[in-house]
Amino acid sequence: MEIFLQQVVNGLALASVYALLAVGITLIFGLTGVVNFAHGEFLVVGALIGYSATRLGLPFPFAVMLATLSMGLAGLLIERFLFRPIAAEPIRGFIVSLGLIVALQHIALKIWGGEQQAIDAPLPQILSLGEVRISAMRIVVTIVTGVVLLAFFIMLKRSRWGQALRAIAIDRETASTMGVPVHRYVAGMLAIGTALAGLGGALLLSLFPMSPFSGGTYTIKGFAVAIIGGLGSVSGALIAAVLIGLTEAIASGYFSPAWTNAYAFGAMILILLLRPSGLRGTAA
Amino acid sequence: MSPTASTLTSGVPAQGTLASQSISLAVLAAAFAIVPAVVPSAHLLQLATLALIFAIPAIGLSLLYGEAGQMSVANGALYGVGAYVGAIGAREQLFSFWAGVPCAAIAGALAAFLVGLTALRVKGHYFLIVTFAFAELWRICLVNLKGLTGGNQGVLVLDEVRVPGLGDLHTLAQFYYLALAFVLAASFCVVLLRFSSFGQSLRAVRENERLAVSLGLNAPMVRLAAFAVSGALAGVAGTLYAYTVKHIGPDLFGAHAGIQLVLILLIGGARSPVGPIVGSLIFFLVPEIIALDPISTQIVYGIVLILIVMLSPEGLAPGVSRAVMRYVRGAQPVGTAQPVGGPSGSISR
Repeated sequence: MEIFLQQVVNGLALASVYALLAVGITLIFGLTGVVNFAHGEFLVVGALIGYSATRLGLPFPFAVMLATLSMGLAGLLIERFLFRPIAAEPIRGFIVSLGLIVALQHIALKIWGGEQQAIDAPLPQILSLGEVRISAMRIVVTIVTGVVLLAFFIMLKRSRWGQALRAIAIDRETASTMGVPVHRYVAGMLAIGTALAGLGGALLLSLFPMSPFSGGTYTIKGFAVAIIGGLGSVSGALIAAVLIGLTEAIASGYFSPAWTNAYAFGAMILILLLRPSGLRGTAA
Repeated sequence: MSPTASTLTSGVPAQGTLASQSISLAVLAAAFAIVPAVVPSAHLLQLATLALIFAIPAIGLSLLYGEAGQMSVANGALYGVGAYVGAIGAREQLFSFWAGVPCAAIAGALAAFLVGLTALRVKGHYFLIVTFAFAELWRICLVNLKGLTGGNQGVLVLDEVRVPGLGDLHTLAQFYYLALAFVLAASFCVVLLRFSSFGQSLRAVRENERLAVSLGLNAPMVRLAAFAVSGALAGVAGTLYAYTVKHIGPDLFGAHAGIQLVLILLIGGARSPVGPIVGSLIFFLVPEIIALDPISTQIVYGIVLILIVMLSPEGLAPGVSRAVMRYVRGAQPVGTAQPVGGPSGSISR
């Protein structure tokens, strides 16, 4: 029972980072139709920027903010100069993202080298609840992402801004004729998506080491979560992230951790076979 | 395919004709045959051999992407399926090179079929995601199943390739000609398929899937068949690679290899038989010739891939040759040099 509770807490921290990734993936897909395989690279570059910032003496919260903002800026630039000119053909956006994987991964390799980079835990405390011992950092990560995602979700569902976004996802042209500045919204959304990935990366760095080669695994995890939730559905992505995070943590607590990365793929393939539209349909 | 399907699709021609594509292949073969005699260093010949081997999965992908309009990131992993089938078969003394090649082809086709089956119910972007997931899953399996695959150490291939009349192959030039023979065979298979009724069905599915389905084509099965063919070719190339390089490891065959194949296809163009071969040669030789370090090479590759997609989506070589043609014909009225479907027609869906 102790192992179980312990892994549930560990799983929630993982789940929150997967949710940050998957929300970005699902929104970018919902708004532009682009399958952006470079999303995990933004997480990695964000984490490495956070690493350098901490190394230069910046307090961890500021390093996290720096990583988030710089990835948001990267997202803006990529939307404006790469995705927007070819918006009519999402398959080209997909191939652009393949190029981004290769370029970003090796630029990171050039700057930070191929080793795993880690920082000292910003909060080294361990909380004990009876037999269950929980690292304070994991709780902070879970809470921070939880608050960010909740705020985002409420904005998406309740604000005019969120309504406009959903309108774009359903019918771009009609939204445009109704006066929604589509380009600005899509650019803003892409920036938020990549910023969330940067945030996830920087937070993850406080729990695990990160190397330029970690991107692919996170991309796939993010896509698995997004597909299980239903591509385009934010609430589905949140539910699926919790499912996958808990499954991975519990399974690696009881079985071999070497196969942890395979569970998400297995679940994704199962969902594709049984319920192709995911847990929560296709609407944003 | 059914007669309805072929009458329907006669309106979607392939680029060129069976004769013109065969001739361009023959010219290419003649040019490549003299390479070992003129190439200045053994190292370059080795790179050219690797480029030829890696052109084979690109040729398979050119059928899937160029004709059926379906991209895949899994073909690098399917190449790995063939490599491991050939290498493990040799290690366990199960079969020789010549028996390994058909086994690898079957394994590659079967793997592609199973992967494609998952994506059958859904299409387009889901297929891409499934192929990406499969490529990474395959690499995880290679690393973890140490007993079978040697984990990160990979597998050594100690067996030789025995060619009747020549004995065991030893010299670089011999392996070069072996690779060239396989490339030509693979290209010719794809050219024949491109001009068969199967090729017509592929183009019909690419151009207008609903119309194709309404006239009786089973679009998902047609696409799946093309994917299986590309898997078989990738498998054959994998075994050839294992026997040529003598050592394989898991990192060669993940999603990264799949992305490299996409790049090769976009450099050379996906609709001519020489496109993937030329693309692969440029991919392997240009960084060597301009002496770029490996990491910078990869950065440049990433940027080049993006630039090609942004500026000349039908491929670098076709784009350049069209620009040259336009320049040569300069005086002609605007529009005559445009192919059916416009320049962006090569990337649909």
